[in-house]
Amino acid sequence: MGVIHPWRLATLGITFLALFVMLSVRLWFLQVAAVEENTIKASANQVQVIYQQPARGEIRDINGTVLAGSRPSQTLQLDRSEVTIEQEEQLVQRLAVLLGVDQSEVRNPINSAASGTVVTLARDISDEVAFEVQEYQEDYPGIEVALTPVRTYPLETLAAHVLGYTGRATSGDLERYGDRVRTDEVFGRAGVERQYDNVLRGTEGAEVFTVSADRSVWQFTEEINARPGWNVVLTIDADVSRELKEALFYSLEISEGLGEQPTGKVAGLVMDITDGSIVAMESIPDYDPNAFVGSLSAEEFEVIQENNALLNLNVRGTFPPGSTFKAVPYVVAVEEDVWPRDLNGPEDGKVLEPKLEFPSFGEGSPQVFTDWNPNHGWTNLHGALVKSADVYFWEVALGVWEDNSLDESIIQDWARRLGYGAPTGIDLPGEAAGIMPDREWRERLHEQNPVAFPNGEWYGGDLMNTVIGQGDLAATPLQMAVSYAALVNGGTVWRPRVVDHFVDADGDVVDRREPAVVRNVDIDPETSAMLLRDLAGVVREGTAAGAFAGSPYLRQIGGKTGTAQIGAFADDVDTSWFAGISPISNPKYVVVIVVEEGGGGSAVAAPAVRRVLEYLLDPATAPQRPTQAEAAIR
Amino acid sequence: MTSAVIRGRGLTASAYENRRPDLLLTSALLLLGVLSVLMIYSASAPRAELLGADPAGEAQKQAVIVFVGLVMFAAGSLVGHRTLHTAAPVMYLAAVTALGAVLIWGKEVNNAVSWFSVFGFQFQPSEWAKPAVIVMLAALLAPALENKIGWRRVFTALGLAGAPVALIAAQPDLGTLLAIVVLSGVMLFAAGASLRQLGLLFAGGGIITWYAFNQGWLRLVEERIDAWLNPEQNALAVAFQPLQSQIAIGSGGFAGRGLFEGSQTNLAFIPEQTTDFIFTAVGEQLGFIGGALLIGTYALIVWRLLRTAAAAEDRFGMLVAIGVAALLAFHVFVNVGMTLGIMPVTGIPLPFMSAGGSSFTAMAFALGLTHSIWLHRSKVPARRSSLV
Repeated sequence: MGVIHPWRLATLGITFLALFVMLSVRLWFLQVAAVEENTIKASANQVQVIYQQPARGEIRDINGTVLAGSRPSQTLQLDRSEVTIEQEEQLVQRLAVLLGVDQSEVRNPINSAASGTVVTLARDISDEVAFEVQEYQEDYPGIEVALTPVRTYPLETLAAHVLGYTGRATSGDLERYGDRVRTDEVFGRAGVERQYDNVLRGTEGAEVFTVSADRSVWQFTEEINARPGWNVVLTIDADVSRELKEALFYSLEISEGLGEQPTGKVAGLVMDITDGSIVAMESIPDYDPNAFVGSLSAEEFEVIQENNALLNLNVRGTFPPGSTFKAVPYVVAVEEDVWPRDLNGPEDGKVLEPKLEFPSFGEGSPQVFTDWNPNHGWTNLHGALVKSADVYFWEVALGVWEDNSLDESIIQDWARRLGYGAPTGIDLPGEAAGIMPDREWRERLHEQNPVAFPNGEWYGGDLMNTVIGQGDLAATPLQMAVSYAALVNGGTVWRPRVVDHFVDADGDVVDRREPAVVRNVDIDPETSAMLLRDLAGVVREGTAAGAFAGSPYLRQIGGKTGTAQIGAFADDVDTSWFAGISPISNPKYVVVIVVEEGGGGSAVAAPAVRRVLEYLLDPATAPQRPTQAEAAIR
Repeated sequence: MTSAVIRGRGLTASAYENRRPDLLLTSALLLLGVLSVLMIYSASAPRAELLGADPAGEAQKQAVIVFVGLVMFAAGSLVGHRTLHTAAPVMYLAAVTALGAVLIWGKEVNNAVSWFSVFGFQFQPSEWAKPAVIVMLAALLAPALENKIGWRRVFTALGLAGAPVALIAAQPDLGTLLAIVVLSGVMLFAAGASLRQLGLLFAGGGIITWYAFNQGWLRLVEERIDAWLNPEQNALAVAFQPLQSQIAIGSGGFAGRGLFEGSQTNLAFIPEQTTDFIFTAVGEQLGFIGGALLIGTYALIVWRLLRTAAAAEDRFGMLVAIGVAALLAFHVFVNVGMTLGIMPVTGIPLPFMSAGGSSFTAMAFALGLTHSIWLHRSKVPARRSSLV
C-alpha cells in the first residue's frame, strides 16, 4: 500500500490536468479562433492619426469665373495639453470678453472635446482678436491662431441655387457616418456642393503615429498627403446668370406694376438646345451661401427656411404650365394626324366657335368649354398656336377622345417622352417629377387614397384641361425647357447638366461630364421647322407681339406664352410663363421664366425672357431697351 | 516484517541510482528561468529606453534573481526531508512572525502592506509563508495512520493555516490568502480527510465568505468580479488590464509576433507587464505555440511533483510534494487565467516567470524541497503508486 490513496492521487492529477487544459483551450480561442478581431483591436490601440483636411475644390463658371472658392480665415484654437483646468477656466472668461460672446460659447467646445486635444474655439476671428492673443501670449496660454480655409462665394446670391452651400458636420452626420467623419469636416449641403461633394472634398491626408498607452508620442510612422479636391467647372455662364437674375426681378416689377400680387416666387433658366447644358439658372427668393459658412444662428436659418429661399424652383418647383404646353398637342396633331372636326392637316382652317360641347366631367357637370378669346376667327394649326386658341386644341383632344383607333393617352405619352412627369435627371439634388395626368394616374391615386381622391374616373374634360396645360398637369421650369429643346431640335431629349468638366489642382482636366441623351423622340424635322416658324409668329404677331414689339432681333426669336389659372374660381390668380427660343434659324438657347401668380404670360414673363434672349444674341449691344409693357408701366 | 529483507545489500546500487536528480524537473526550471529573463527584457526595455533608463536593467536584476533561485533550488534539494520535518515548526513560526512584522514595519505598495526592505532588497514574507505552511501542515498530517485523519488534526490544521491567513488578510493580499486556503484543502484531501470532513470545511468556508461579503470586506473583490464579468463596460477602469491583456495575447496569433516585436507589451498598454501580466508578453510575442509550451512546462513540473508524491518514502514527503504541486497549479491557473480573461484579477505572480525575487526564490526553494523528496524516494517500487 502506498503513502497516498491511488484514487486521491488520481483525482488531484485529473483536476490539475483539467486546469491546464482549460488554459490551453482558452489560449487557442484567443490566439487562433479570434485572432483577426484581436489584431484589429490591437492596432486601433496603438495608432494615433492626425488628419489633414484637404483644400475643397473651387467651383467655376464656363469662362473660369470663380463661383465658389476658399479664402484663408483665422481660427482661434486651444491646445488642451498645454493648459491646466484652472487656466482653461481663466481663458474662458478672458476670451468671452475678447470675442464679445457668452462664456458658454467658449466653454462648450472645450467641454465636448477630449483632454489633450486641440479645440477650435472661434472661427473667422478679426485681425484685432488675432493680434491681441498673439501679442499677449502669456495671458492666453495654449491659444493658437491657425489659418484655415473658409468657403467663399464671391458672387453671393448669383447662381446660389445651382451652387448650393456647405456646412460643418452636424450631429446627424456624425451619427450617420460614424468614425469616418470629423467634426471639423465641411459637407456640401445643396446644389453642386452636395451633388459633387465627393469630388470637391478631395482625399483626407493623415499623419500616423504609433503611440504608447499614456499617449506620449512614440514614433512617427507615415504621412499620407491630403489630395485637394477637384475644381468643378460648370456649364453656367455667370454673365448670362446675372442678366437672367435681373430679368427675374424685372418680371416681378412688371407684375406688381400691373397690379398683380405675385407670390414672389420666380424661376428662370437658360438651356443649350444642342447639348442640354444649363447656361443660367436662377430662382427667387434667393439666399447668400456665404451666410452658411460662419455659424448661422437658428433664427437666421429659420428666416431663410420660411421664405423657401433654399428651394431651386427650376428643379423643385412644379407649376401648371398653361398654354406653353400647347406645343406638345401641336406636334402630336401633326405627327399622329389628329385634327379638329372638319379639318384635315395643318393648313386647313375654320372659324372657331368660342364654345365647345364636350364630354366633360360626368353626369350633371358643364358640357360646354369656353375659350379665353371669343373672337379667334378663321384658324388653322399655325393660328391656333400663335393666338393660343384653346378651342382648336380642345378639338384635337376631342379627336383623340372620340377616335377609338387612337390610344386616349397618346398626348400624355408624347409629353412623357418629351420629359414631363418624371425627373429630367439633371445633376442637382432633389429634383421634382411633376405630374402628367391620365386615366391610369387618376385611378392609382384613388386606389391609394380613396378619401382624398374620391373620384377615380378620368373624363374627357380632364383631357381637355390637360392639352391646354391646366387641370392636374404640373411641370418644373426645367422640364419645360427640356421639352421645348426636344421639340425644336428634332426630338433629342437631353439629360440637362450643370457641370461640364473637372480640373485637378495642377490645372489638368481630369474628367468630363459629356452631354447625355435620355431618348430620341421621333419628330419629323418638317414638324420641328413648322413649330419654330409658329413660335416666331407668336412673338411677331401673336400673344407675345406686344412684349417683343420693337426688338431688333424679332427675326431670330420665337416663343410661347402661358397663363395658367390656379384654382377654378380665382380668375385673377394666373401664373405667368414664357418659353423662348433663339435663334430661330438654328436654335441654340431655350429660355424659360415662370412668375408664380404673376399675371398673364404675355405681359409679365415674356418681356423678361425678351431681355435674356436679346442678351444672348448680342451681349455687347443689349442695353436695357424698355419694352412696350415697360413703357406702359412708366 | 519484510523490510529487513528489502533493505538488504542487493539494493545499494539502485539506491545510488535513486540519488540521480530529476533531470526533467531541473530542465523545466532552467527553461523557465531563461524565458523569464528574456520576457522581462522584451517587456521592459522599450519603456525603459523611453524613460532614459537602462533598457536591460530589469532583465539583469531578474537574471540575478534566477541565479539565486537556482541556488535555493539546489539548497532545498540538499535538505534531508527528515531535517525538514524536524525544522517545520521553526520555519512556520519564522514565517508567521515575519507576516506579523510586515504589518508593523512593512511599506504600503498598491494598497497592500506586504513588503519589507532588508539590506536594500525587497522582501515579501507572504511568498515564504506558502512553503512554510506546506511543510508545517505536512508535519502535522504525516503521522496519521491508515490514511485517515481525525477531527482533532483537521482543526489543528485549520488553526495552523488560519494564523497566516488572518495576517495576510490584514495586508490585504487576496491571491496569497486563497493560495494558502486551497493548498491546505488539497493537502487535507491527500492526507486522507474524509469527504464528510472536507464537505463540512467547505460549508464553513462558504459561510465565512458570505459573512465577509455582507460585511463589505470584499468590496474590491466584488469590483473585480464585476469587471471580469462585464469587461466592455469597465474598459477604462478595473477591466482595463485584463481586456488589454486579452487583446495583446489574441493579436499574437498562432505563431506570435516574434520576440521583441510585441507592440502592445512594448508600448506599455499592459500594466504590470513584467510582473503579474508577464504571460501577456509571452502570448503576444511567442503566440499560441509559445503560450502552450509554457503551460505545458508547468504541467510537466506538476506531473513530476505528483510522481514525487507517489514515490515518496513517507507521508511527510508525499504531503509536501502534493502541497507544492497544488500551490504551483493554483498560481499558474489563476495568473494565466487572469491574463486570458477566464479568472478575475487577483494579484498573484506567475511562478518562475514574473519579475520579483521573493516569489522566484521561495518557489524555487519549495521546488528544491520536493526534489529532495524525490532524491530520497522510496526504494521499494511496490510501495509506489502505479499511477504515475
